Amino acid sequence: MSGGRHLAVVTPWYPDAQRPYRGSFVQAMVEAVAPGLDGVDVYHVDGWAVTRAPERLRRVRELQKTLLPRSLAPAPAVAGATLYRLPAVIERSRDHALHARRHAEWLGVALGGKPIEADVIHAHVPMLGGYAALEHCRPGTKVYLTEHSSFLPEVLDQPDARALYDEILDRCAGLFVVGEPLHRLIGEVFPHHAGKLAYIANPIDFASRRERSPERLRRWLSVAGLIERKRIDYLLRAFADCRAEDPALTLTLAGEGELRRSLEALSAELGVEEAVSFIGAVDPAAIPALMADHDLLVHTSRHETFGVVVVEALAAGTPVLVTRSGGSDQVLAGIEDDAGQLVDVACDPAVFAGAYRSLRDRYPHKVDLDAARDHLRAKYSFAAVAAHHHRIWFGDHK
Amino acid sequence: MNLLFVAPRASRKRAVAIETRRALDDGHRVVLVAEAGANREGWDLDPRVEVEWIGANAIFAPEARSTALLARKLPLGLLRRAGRGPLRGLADKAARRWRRTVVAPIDRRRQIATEAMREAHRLDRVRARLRATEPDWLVLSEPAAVELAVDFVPDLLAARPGTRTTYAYEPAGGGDDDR
Repeated sequence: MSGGRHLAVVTPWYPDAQRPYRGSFVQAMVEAVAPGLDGVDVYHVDGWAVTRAPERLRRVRELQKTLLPRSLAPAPAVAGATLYRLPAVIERSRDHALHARRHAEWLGVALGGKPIEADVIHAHVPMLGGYAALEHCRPGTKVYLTEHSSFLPEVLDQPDARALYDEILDRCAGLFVVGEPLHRLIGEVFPHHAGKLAYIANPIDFASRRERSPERLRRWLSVAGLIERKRIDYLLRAFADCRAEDPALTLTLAGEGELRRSLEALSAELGVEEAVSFIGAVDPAAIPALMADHDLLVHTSRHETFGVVVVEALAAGTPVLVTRSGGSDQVLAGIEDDAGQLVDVACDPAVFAGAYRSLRDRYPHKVDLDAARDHLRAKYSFAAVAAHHHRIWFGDHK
Repeated sequence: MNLLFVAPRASRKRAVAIETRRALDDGHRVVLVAEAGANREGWDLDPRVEVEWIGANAIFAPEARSTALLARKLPLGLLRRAGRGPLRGLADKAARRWRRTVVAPIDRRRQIATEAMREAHRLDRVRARLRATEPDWLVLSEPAAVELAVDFVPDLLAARPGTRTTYAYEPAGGGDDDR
């Protein structure tokens, strides 16, 4: 594992057989950056919640200390990387600092007390992957971090966790965020670390795109979890409003979540159940084809740290109608009109419906999807994101 | 190899279904001890998997008939009847208080007893399968499997230290597009 350009990635999120979408952006990052490196080791430290009962917990921890080192087997991963999966057993708790310490502890157990053999470490989620990496890096190894957590405000509300986050920022070589909301939050809470804070993009696959742009914006697509923050109920109401004018409209909802049943009931209540398809979670690899099979990406989220689906849609050549959720506005800054339309986050579905009508009326003549795509490719393609990482880690100038 | 997957809460059904199928395709014998869940929903298992359904969720600690009658049916029935008249507010308040102070502690105790019975049942079934299967590869495929393992894995490893233990069947293809 020695050499000048060996990378280790420490992450609490990485796709596995149970959750093939969780942390797919980390997998994409590994795939993007691996070319040009000597090797990449991925440590997926997965939190497994176990009992809090003290005696039972003691026995579980004792057993795990035996099992983890003997169970650790390298598995081949994307782009020639090596993947190590290590369940970190953690007593059920909302204490974020405890979770951080447990992630670090179990990574140490898995490593058998040795440090991570890498020239550079890039860890995802500072509280979990970041702290674990810092606790187990070789002396002098630079540890960079990327924050993606939409739950970061809850973390920083806990005094212990905030103090630990401060320490992590102090010890790391740099902290990157994927969107403006996280940049603002971290900058406000830790102004003394502002010099370490910078943006980095999640890589998006620009390899394929639809052959022709959509003729009319009738087949809507949402790629979002069926959870409150995504406001799919709002989307359904806006869709029903628009469909009352144009019965040819359809809406495909890709994603799963706790609200599925109530949203299915709402679509029936609104009389649009025949036009709405709930297709469940979709494999990330199938997203470009799904985008290409629809006319318009609609996204109604209240808050996003980054606008992955917005970039994916435009990479596939599909226009977008999305709320100003933080991540999306940043992604579309300067290309709003070329890409489609941004909408304010409002309570009244008529606002979203009105934005659709406005976009529909100026489409396709006053939209330039090629220009929007080229603009995004320069920032978010695998090659662009890899070059950015290599520049940070090794000072590459290419 | 002889693989035994342990999934006593069935919290990672998708992973178990994928990994057992992959293990079978690699030529292994695969036995699964798992909680069935309601109507065995969500399981998409290869028919070649030898499954032992635990069925612990169907076990409930019994409640004495006198307790059911004197702590639940009679007092709550009377209060429900009294609530149909002008004493509705008072009766509802009394019923809430009765549920909080009398029924809830009984339910809590019963829940603890139920969980103890279920845990013992899970352990019995897993131990029986271990004896019958004599696995050379044990897959503890979810957090509850690790919790349950404290009661059988130390003995297993003492008796057969060469037994392979992992948290997943993932000898190849981890995290890549072939998953």
